[in-house]
Amino acid sequence: MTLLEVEDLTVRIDTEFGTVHAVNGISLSVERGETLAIVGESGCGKSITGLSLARLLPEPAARIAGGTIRFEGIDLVTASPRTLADLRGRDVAMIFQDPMSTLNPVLTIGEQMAEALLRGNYGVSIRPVRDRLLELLDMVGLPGGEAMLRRYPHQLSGGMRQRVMIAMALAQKPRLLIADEPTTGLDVTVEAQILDLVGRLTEESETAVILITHDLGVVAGVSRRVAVMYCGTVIETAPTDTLFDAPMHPYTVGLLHATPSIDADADEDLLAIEGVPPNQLRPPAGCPFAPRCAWRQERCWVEVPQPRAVGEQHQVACHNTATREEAQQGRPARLAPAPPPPNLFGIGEVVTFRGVST
Amino acid sequence: MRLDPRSIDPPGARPNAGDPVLSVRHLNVEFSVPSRRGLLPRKVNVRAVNDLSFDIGRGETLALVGESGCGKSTTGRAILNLIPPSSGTVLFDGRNIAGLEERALRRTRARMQMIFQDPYGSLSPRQTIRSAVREALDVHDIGERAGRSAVVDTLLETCGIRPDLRDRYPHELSGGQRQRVGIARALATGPDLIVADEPTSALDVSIQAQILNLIRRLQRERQISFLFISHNMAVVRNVSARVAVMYLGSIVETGLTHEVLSLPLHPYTKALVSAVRVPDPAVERRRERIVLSGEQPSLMELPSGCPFHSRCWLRKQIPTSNRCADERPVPRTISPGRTVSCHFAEELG
Amino acid sequence: MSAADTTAAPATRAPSNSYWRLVFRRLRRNRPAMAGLVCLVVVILAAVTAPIIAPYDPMKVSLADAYQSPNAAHLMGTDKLGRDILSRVLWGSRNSLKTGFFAVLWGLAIGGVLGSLALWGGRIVDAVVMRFTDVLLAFPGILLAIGVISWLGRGDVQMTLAVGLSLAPIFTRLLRASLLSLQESDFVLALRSVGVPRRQILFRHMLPNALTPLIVQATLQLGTTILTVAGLGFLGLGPEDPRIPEWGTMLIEGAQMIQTFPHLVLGPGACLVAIVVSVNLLGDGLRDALDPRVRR
Repeated sequence: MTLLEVEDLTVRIDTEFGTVHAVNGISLSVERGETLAIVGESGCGKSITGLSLARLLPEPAARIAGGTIRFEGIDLVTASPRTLADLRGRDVAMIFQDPMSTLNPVLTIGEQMAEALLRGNYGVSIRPVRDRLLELLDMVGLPGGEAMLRRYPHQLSGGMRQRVMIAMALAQKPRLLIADEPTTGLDVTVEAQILDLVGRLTEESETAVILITHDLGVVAGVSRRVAVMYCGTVIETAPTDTLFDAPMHPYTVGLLHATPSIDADADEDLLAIEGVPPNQLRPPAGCPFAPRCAWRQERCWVEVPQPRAVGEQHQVACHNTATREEAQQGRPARLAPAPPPPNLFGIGEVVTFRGVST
Repeated sequence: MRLDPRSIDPPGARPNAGDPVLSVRHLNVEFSVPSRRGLLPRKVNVRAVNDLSFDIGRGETLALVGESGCGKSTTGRAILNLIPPSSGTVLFDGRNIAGLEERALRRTRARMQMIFQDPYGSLSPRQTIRSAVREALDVHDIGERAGRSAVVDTLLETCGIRPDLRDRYPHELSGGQRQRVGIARALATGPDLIVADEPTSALDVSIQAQILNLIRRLQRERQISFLFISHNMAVVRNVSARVAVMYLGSIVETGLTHEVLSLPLHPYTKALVSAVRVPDPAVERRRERIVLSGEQPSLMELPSGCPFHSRCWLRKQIPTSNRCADERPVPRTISPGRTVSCHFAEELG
Repeated sequence: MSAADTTAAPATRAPSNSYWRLVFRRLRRNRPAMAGLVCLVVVILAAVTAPIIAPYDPMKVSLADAYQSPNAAHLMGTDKLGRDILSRVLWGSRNSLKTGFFAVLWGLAIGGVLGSLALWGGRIVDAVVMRFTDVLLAFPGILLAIGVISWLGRGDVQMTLAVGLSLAPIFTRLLRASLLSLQESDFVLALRSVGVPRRQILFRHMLPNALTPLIVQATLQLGTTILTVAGLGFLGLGPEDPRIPEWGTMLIEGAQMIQTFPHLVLGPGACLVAIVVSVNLLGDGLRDALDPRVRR
């Protein structure tokens, strides 16, 4: 049964330079106990999506401008603050990239974990929940028992802090865990530990996970299904195997070819995606990827492609998808990409970037 | 892993013809940090880089990989004398530059440059990018004054900066563009050696590929040697023919990159390589991952003997020996160009 | 990952958008700061044009008109010698603003030199400079100024020097702190690695960047300084010629009669408050506008 159903979610952020079109009508769904990865580069709106799913956007500057987020039938967009507060922590938990800034530096680990456990009953000593806390420490593999509870965040390493955050997030056995770049900034060997831990714990408690990451390697190792985001839209959703095997959106293809790999041939240059993502203050009129796309046709400049089903659980938002062979080659077999129509300059930012020759 | 041992090496592979550009011997870097132990405040010396030796040939690239805190960045900075080494020699073109005064170093600076991780922080915020590159030329008085603007423009263009961006300030550029400016500035003085400290780790994948390709092109087209510092094995594989793996201030293994990746010898390298994620679900499912327990100890609590012995997952296979805890392994040459600092590398194979 | 990232890529706009233009644009959006700026500009204009706009000669005594309440002929009333208070406030603003402004500049200059010296001269110079500022800081600013005035004698210039000196330690410490943090920054390291000489790094790169907090502090200090100058006038250490209008002196005279003739202090008092408040608003706004962390 579907745990979370997002439809046409739109988020706008007001800045001093204008309104950022951070998320532009995305639709996602997460089944019970499933792990969905949202992958994309910085500024693509993946973190904003994660925050809006937990209704943790920095309102009012950032606001949900449309769409629905149904969590077990409750629409989180219209839910009362009371309902949301009830849901957060108990049913929906979130962990972030930098556990140093999400832990309070002046409280001990024990106090903060107790607070998470007792859900905001301040001033409670940790004694009544001591056993439970030690159990949690054990669960996330933090050594030291009681002494660990008395330590402060700055006395722990990044990996240990992330374990504390995981313990706090999973203390209530939530049904959905939103993990926003949980291992970014950690060393690879520690990353392996943390991802293993999250995988094992959520499997045990049948917690669904939305894993937000920029790292395709992490996606390949952890999730069953992937949504690729670009410029505030989900451009491709597919089972992990399909996505890596036969990606169809040119951006996904580009991303896969741009990622260096330890077992790839090193005698060839990477196939870089030229240019930079568009300015989301003034998004382009057509497909947001068109300016950087080698597959683009004339209609791509003017018509926003809508997601369409191309296979089982596989949706792509593209007018001119890559074939299997093209995806393997990383470049289109057909004609040169269509130049932008002359009247398009001035609408949004058209990047004509003279990148490095490859 | 489908690794063809005959696969052609990336640019930056050069047979060691002639004298190396850079020759580092027994480099040590120590910091004094305040200690909290005891009643009175005192300072303790922490050894961030421990007895490092390596060479970089002309036009060759050596990658220094390791996790954060292993001393790889400190090494890069000590080589450029941005942090004074506490002992050891750094021979640049046959001349020892370790411990030279800033003034004496200035001339040498033109020939050894650095690219930084944070392309924003490493550019002066009140300076247009054109004047940042220009300054490098002015300082070393390179070329005719009148011709310098043109040189700057060519450099920026080589590095892929559109002409209309030249008069922008760093905060008006994207991360990738700033990194290109950083590279252009490093190239300005025509260096023989560039220390690149995590040049792509702050960038997105698609931008990272652009920068890596730029670096590969420079390796091909100019005879520049690189010391490429990174935590990312896949990136290293892409730009460097040779690699040195660091752990807690020591080099634990060196060798050709594809050899080290396909057949790591040191237990730490094995764990590190196995932890690298591959963007391929089939490979990810099949592979066996060595998950190390714990984390790299702090430099203040440096283990005795082998720096890795406290976390070594293969140590239980050598039950009778206390050697790991007692004796610090020195790099041993296993095959030409391949060294390992492990007492039992062969047995553990 | 956030809004900041999305706007990082430059949009198609005018070729250069210099730092200061950006700062001004941000300042313009800050309403209180703009109100402060406008108010300050008005006061400065008034001070500059005092000879033209002042309705009367500020020194002209007319005992017959003494102690008039505000009326159509004298908008702020008259004082005990029948002098027009509005005219005296206008003329007085020249003195107060001038002394305040130059005192802050002087303080900035001493602080700038000492702060750079502390960083430049090595450990011993640093220690000496810092202990010196500690000594200066140990005295309340006004006490220090009184001491210096009693040593140099009364007068405009002396007052400016005295008040400026009492401001110097604040600027010294501030500059040294920001230079120290800049010294650790990546871009200074990068400049060193390029081979830029130390002197050039300090003067061309570090000082301009360290100026930001100094400018903010200077603006905020301007308000306090005008108060200090007025206070010194209040203590009778103002201009030697008691006939010269000066806000502090006007306040002290008026204070004696505040029960019977509150209008004596109302005019100069209100102007003083207005200036101090507007300068502080502007300083706060500048701090926000100049802060690199919220840049873009």
